[in-house]
Amino acid sequence: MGIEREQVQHIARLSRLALSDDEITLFKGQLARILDYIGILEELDTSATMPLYHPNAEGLSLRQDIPRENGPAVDLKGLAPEFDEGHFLVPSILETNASEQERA
Amino acid sequence: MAWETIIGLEVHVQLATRSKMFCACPNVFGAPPNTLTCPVCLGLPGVLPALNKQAVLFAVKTAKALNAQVHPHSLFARKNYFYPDLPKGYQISQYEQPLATTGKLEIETPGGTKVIGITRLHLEEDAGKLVHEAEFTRAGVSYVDLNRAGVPLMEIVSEPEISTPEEAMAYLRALRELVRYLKVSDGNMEEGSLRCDANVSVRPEGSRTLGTKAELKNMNSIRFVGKALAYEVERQVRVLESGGKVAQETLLWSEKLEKTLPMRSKEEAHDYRYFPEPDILPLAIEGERIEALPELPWDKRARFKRVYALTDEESGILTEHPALAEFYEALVEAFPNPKTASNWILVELLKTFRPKMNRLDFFPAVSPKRVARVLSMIEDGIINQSTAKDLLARLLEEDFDPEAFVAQQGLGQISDEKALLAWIDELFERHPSQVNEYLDGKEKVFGFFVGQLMKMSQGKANPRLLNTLLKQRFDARKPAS
Amino acid sequence: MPNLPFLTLAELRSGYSRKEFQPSEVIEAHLKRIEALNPELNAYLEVFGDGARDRARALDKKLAQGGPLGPLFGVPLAVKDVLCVEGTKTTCGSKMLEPFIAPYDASCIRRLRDQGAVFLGKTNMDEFAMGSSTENSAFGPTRNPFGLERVPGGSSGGSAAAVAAHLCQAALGSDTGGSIRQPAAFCGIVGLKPTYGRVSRYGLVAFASSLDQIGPMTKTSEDAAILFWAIAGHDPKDMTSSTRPVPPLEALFGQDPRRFRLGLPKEYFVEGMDQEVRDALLATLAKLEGLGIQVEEVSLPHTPYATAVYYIIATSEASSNLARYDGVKYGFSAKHADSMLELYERTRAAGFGLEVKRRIMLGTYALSAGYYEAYFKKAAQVRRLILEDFTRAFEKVDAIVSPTTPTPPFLLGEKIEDPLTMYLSDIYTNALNLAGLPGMSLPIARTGDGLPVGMQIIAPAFMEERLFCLGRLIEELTNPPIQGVPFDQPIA
Repeated sequence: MGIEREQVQHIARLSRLALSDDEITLFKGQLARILDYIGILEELDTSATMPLYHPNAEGLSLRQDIPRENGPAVDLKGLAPEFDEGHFLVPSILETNASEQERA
Repeated sequence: MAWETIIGLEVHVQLATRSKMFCACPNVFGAPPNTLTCPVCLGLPGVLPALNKQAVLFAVKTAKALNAQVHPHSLFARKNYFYPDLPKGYQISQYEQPLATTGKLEIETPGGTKVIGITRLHLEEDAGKLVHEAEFTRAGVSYVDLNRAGVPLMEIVSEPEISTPEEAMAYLRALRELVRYLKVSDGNMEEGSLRCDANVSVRPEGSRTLGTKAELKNMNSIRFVGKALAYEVERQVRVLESGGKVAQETLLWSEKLEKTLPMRSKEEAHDYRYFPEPDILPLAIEGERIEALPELPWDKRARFKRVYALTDEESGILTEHPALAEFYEALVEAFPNPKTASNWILVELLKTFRPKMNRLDFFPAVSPKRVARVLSMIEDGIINQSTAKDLLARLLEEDFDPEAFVAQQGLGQISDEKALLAWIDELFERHPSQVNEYLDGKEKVFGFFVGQLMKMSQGKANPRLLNTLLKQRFDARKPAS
Repeated sequence: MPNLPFLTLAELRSGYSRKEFQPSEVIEAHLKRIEALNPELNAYLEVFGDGARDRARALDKKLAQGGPLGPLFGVPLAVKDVLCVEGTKTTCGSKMLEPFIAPYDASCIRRLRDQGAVFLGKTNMDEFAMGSSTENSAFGPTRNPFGLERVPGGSSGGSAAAVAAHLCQAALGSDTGGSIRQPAAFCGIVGLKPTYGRVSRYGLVAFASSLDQIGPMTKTSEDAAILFWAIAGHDPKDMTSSTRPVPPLEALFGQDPRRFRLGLPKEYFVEGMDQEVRDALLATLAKLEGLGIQVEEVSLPHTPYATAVYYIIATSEASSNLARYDGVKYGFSAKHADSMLELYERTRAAGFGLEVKRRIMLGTYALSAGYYEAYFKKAAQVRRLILEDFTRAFEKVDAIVSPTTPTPPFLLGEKIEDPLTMYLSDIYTNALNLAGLPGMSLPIARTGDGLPVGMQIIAPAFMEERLFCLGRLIEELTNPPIQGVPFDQPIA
């Protein structure tokens, strides 16, 4: 089973991976081979088979609704790449926000 | 051409649990940013979700109240997308096999009661928040606060059976009231604990095919939902009537501009890649785990109408919040005149209660027994209405013994005939021309005398007795016929 | 004084209780050995020298005070760098997590710490546990102590090499498709993948959540049982962990394996199984039959599909599990990104290695619109058929035996260019992860080149004791080849 270069690029975008042209070429070939191998599953008729998602699922024990003490549990400033004023900082996502359109 | 509107609502209800959905971080509003976080809700490497039992019970309770079918086995699923307020890169939600399906909610419309179908009800976790317009923010930067990440949400999806913006508002009011009755959420839209997205389309009346729908977001009050839907319906009709096509898109309601605006797409078409959440085993719900439901708002409303002989409007308002309904019933128990009790609540007390009634923990700031004693004093002729109003206003501020207070401050009404007659005689002497006007048949002047007498008595004259005595005095002056 | 790093856990315990030596001497002997041998092996990524010494001194005092000692008291352990140990780097062999200091302990780490274990350091691995050779580490490959030009297996290759070279008493690994058992076989040690749900995964950096299990890597079956017993049991922080009680330690050896009926899956004898591997297995089985143990053929008809199912499910779950590495909250983050999209794409492009990217791509594809039914759902259905194969086989036999790997350890670089061939090196191991069953690899022979050969024993869910009992018997019969490795000489 083949896979188109555009498909590889689409999957890379969905995965948020900036791939080089070489990587796309490499993955196009390798994914095609792997998908070809995986294709053997088509031999099996599973129309009457329930999917198995959780092995040994014997029943869920739920957590009691008891909150921990207030206050931070982790030193975020030491953890985060960019942190200021108590917040994680990222490039603005505002161009997709209506409040900007309101201002315009 | 006549047009028909089709609306479906997706409502997200923040559940009033004490801790978050999958970790023990407190579920509270308004803490300093990122202080209500731990390895689990931050999505640190290696952490796993531990499902909050109370969140499950709240959702089951709501599903039961909506007459929905609660599934004995339901599955959690991951909804995968990248966004900075989503720490794990996926939201834990439910997709195939949600907690409940096929329920219904009755709403009141001008044409009578209408049943709106509920498609599904499921549990999911909330995302964090992005902050942009605070004192500390810089341009070009989004500030991520994950306090809200992992707060339990219940999503309730309606069938596309809502036909007008007014019905949509009625649906939201009914749902809000329900979650408050069940004490599963404070249902506060302004603080975001109840959020509503709407799918809306129009089609020529009688048509069987659905029109292209637009998705409306960012409506943070029931009123805005009404306004946004009304605007959008009109817009779509305008587009179609001018020969255009409605685009399938997501629109944001701008309260400032009073219009819907297209949201520029976050990314290319969404592909959420849902799959069963491997970290949470299938959820089994057993019947015996579910506590009995309290009396639901629509049942309480019907009972109030029947038992207390109230109007639709009266019973509707008195049952808006379970604490208010409870207050009313306690009042009626101590002062067994349901109509009068209802009037006093609606006219005098409600305006003080209202602003706090959007909270789950709302509680009337006055004892129903005290109010009953004030109302009994009116009935017994001890005080008049205006004194009663003052007393109630004071009781809302502080607690005191109303009878003792009336006696102490001399607020009891004057029912002393001699004193009242003396005032009448004095008044007749001062205003002989008005007396004559009345005797000549201008009965309106009667009111003038009553007003003057109330002033003379500093508002304490027993109005009924005053009326009787005033009439007697006039009659005595009428020429014998 | 015995040669301390060469002891087993049982020997260590009796030495402590007789006060022949104390924890700081044991730790020091290991640290010395690590210092001498690790530069060549690259088994450890980080060694907690001072931390381990401080901890050992505290345990010395405890030993001096007297009182009962648990089986983990003063045991020097290596930890695969996929497990969070509070206050230390947890890299998962990835540049993505190079800056990450774990702010919490994995549940199994907490348990072992509470029982007196001493952590020596973190071991090398294939990036995010994706690989079968430890060549996918961002921090260089680990070498096999039995042949430095060979791979130690993977992904827990660092832990396997550390145990084999006596750079620790025992180690923790994680197994998603064979990542404990395959390197155990390649390095001539014992490796156990417990039943899915038997050990809490809290604090194990997830690769594929419905397949991952933490397990012991040790010198003997008895050591494996001890370490297993110490980490097994329900944990409220992991909802997939079972609430079944864990048997007491003695009960893990309470069965007579001479009564077992063993099954040999006919589908496992396929093209690609190395002749020496095949001979070693059959010779071991012959010895067992000599003791009166019945060995019979069983059929696991869906075996040919297991690797395909495994790679769909593992990569799908991984594509989601690895979405959190986005440059926002922790870990590596690309500098000077102008938009959120750029931050994501550049962070993930630079932070992940080639194999991780390949698997994220495959998993994203298998879950994407239009392909979910054909790949992910189909795989989940065949997964049930694979489980049913085992269920049927276990109606007839008490345990199933097989080679752990089709071949002895291969050369560094031999398979790294060809992912599919690499994927096929776990054909005997990944079906157990799909079915959630426990499996243990133990050394049974050496090839003509002196390379270890492992045998895998598979038991029904939650029946690990069968593995330990049978394992101990096989060790008596085969005299494990761990003796005589190139690193067997004590460091003076």
